[in-house]
Formats: sequence, C-alpha cells, structure tokens
Amino acid sequence: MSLPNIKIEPGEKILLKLRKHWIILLRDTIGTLIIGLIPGIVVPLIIATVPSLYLDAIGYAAIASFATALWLLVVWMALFALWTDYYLDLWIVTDRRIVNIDQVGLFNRQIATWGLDRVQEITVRSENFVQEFFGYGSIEIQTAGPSDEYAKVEGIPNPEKARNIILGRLGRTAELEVTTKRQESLLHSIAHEVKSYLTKSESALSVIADGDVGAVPDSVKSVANTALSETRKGVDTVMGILDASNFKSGTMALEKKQFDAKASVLEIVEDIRSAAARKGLSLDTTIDGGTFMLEGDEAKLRRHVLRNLIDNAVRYTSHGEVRVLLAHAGRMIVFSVKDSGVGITPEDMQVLFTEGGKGKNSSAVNPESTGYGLYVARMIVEAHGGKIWAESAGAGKGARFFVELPAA
Amino acid sequence: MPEGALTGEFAIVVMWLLFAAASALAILLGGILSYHWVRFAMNAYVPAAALVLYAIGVFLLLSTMFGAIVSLS
Repeated sequence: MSLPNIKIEPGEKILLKLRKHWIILLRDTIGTLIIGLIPGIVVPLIIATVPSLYLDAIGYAAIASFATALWLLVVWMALFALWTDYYLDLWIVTDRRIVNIDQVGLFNRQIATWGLDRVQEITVRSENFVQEFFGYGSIEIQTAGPSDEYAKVEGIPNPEKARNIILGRLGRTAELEVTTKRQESLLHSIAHEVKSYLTKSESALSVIADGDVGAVPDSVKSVANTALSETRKGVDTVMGILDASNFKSGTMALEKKQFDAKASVLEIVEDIRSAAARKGLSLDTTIDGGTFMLEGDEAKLRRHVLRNLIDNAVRYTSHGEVRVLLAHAGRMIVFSVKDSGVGITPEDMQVLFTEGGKGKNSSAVNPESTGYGLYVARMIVEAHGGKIWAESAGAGKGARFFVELPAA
Repeated sequence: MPEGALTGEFAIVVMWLLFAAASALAILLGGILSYHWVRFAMNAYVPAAALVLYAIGVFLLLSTMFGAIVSLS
C-alpha cells in the first residue's frame, strides 16, 4: 500500500495508520445537513406570509426551486470538501517515527514527523463525555532534542491503544540501543586484543626479517617478510576499526601540532611508489609553491587520510596513472588524489564516507576493504575543521578525492 | 404587477448569472477535490467513486436550476 507524500524507508514497518474518529465526520456532516435544511423552513414560511398575488406574479415556484437547488449545491460541495478534509488527514506510526498529515482546507497540507527516538512523553486525553462514550481523544507528544517540540493530535480513535503501541516500540528501541552499545563495546575489546597480538607478531617477524636474531636462510627471511607485510595489513585493519569505534564513542583524542603537509605527502608517495610500480602505474606528484603547514594530529592525518587515499588510488587502479596534488585555495590547503581506476558509481558515492560503507563491487577489487577507511578519514578531516569529498564520472572512469584543511 | 416587484426579465438574468457562477464554482471545486483524491488517496477506487458521486449530485442540482430558469422563461 502506498502512503501519500510519505516515503517509507526500506525495512521501516508501519505499526499504526489512523484517521480521525468517524464521529467527527458524522458531527460535521450532520451540522452541514442541518444548514442544508434551511430552504425546507424558509420556503413554506414565505408561502405562509407573503400574499399569493405577489408570489404568482414573480413565478415564485420556479424561483424557490432554483434557490433551493442552489442552496443544496453549495451544501453538496461543502460536504465533499468536508469529507475530503477528513479523508486526507492521517496519522501514521512506524517503528521509526510518527507522521501526522493534516489537510487544512483545500490548499494547505501540513506533514509533521517526530522520530520515535526523540519522543519523551505521550499524554492521552478524553476531554468530555462524548469522547469518553465513543472512545476517542487527543494525543499530546513531547519530544526532546535540539529543539523541544510539543504536538497535539486530536480525534484519535482509541488513543490509549495508540500510546501503548508507541511506548512498546520505544521500549524495544531502548533495548536495541543497549544491545548495540554492548556489541560495540565487545567489538572494541576484541579489536584491542587482536591488535595487541598482531603487534607482538609484527615485532617478532620484524626481528627475524631484519636479521636481528642472527643470519637466517633467505627462504626464511622471505617468509618472514611476507608474514610481516600481512601482519601489518592486519594491524592497519584493526586500527581502522578501533579508530572508528573511538570516534563513535567520542573517545578519540587528537594530538594537534604544526607539521609540514608537503613533507608528509612526499614521504608517503615515496613509500607507496614501489607498490605502484609493481602494478605498472605511474605515480606523479604536483605540489604548488609556498609552505603547507597544517595544525593537526600528524600521525592520524598521515595514516587515515593522506596515506589511505593514495593507497586506495593505487589499489583501485589496474592501469594508467595516479596523480597526487597539493595546492592552496585561499586559507585552505587542498590535497587531492586523481586516478584512472575503477571509478565510483552514483549509488556507491552515496555510501562512500559512511560507516562500513563499501561500493557494490569494491570487495572484488579489494577483498581486504572493511568499509571503515573513508569513514575514519572523514571523521578525522572534519575533526580538523576540513572537508573531504570525491568526484567521479562513473564506473570505469577513474575518481578524484579531495581533502581541504585549514592552513596553520 | 404590484409596484416594487421584480420584473420577470431581471429575475431571469440574475438566475442565469447565478447558474453560471454556480456551475463554474462546482467545476472548479470538482477539479481541486479530484486533484486531492487522485494525488493523496490510498485506495485506487476512491478517486473514481468520489468523482462519480460528486458529479451526479452536481448534475442533478444544476439541472434543477436550469429547469427552473427555463420554466420561468
């Protein structure tokens, strides 16, 4: 079933759909019909009081018939306007929100929405005997949030039932929130433990690969190097998840200090150049003149933003080139990475910087993608007062990522 | 005819004007209401049923008015 003007999100479930109580329509209809009966009183009254000489002379019968029909036509139109007004008023409760659609007259349609998570108090009132007898009343909703709102919806049939359904849903939402927080906490603990084990393995493998425990055969050294590389990827993945979790819980601390973005970019590009060369990609850097001093957490910006974007460009490009640019735009420093890789579809663009947001085909190109990399990058850039965005002409047409940060 | 009474011609002109205004209003309101029914109704049969009912009522009442004017003419 479609709902006029309301877009029901995928997975959103409608719990309740109500019109005002039928007695309200009946009350207004009877009132209008009583007005419609006026000619039935006025016409006989005229006949009784005005001499028939006058009435016959002006063709009273035809005029009375005309006037009565005209009057009834107005009443007929009023009844339809009334019914339309009643029919188009709607109150919808889903498992996420409450929607009140109020048709005011013919040209004013008001739609108010309150998220269930913001509902603080629901009061039900039956204000008189008629409402008690027919079982309808008003519901008052108090919401909490950046702007506290109070809403009153009148004429709701069985308002207690409606309130109980909403309260039941609110209870389940609260339970879900607690469960989600517990799961996030568990995930955080697990990620922390895994990171600790991986870091120890990384150190041990590094010692073997660097020959710190004495000479080892080349075959062992090669295995140690491969294992070290994989372990570092594992550490990066876990760090990404941990950082995302810390951002969400508000426990991410930024150690801000001045640093040279140009030096950071050049170092990272040199680090990644061999990986690009292995894929036959050209990795070019274009840096404008002048200084590129930033005030921020150098380690996090380097790891999650600069390195992540260049890494991604190399990873998602099978042939062609990756261009890294650093430029000034007024008081801002703009870092951008352009590639000739797989590109981004408009659908993927919508989820690119969201938590766990991965493109439809990204797993095929990059099986290690967790979907947290760009989310964390966005969090870090925004925490530094900057912005991050991407542009792409579509699938297979490459992409360009931009990061804009205020210069120190 | 008694002094001060409406002349037949004047009454007929007024009735024709009222008939035209009522017809225009009924059609205009019908258009506006139909838009609302088609645009916002949740049941596909409601717009058609409402329009037919409205049109029948309007037609009958306008016909009565028309008949009254013709009989007076």
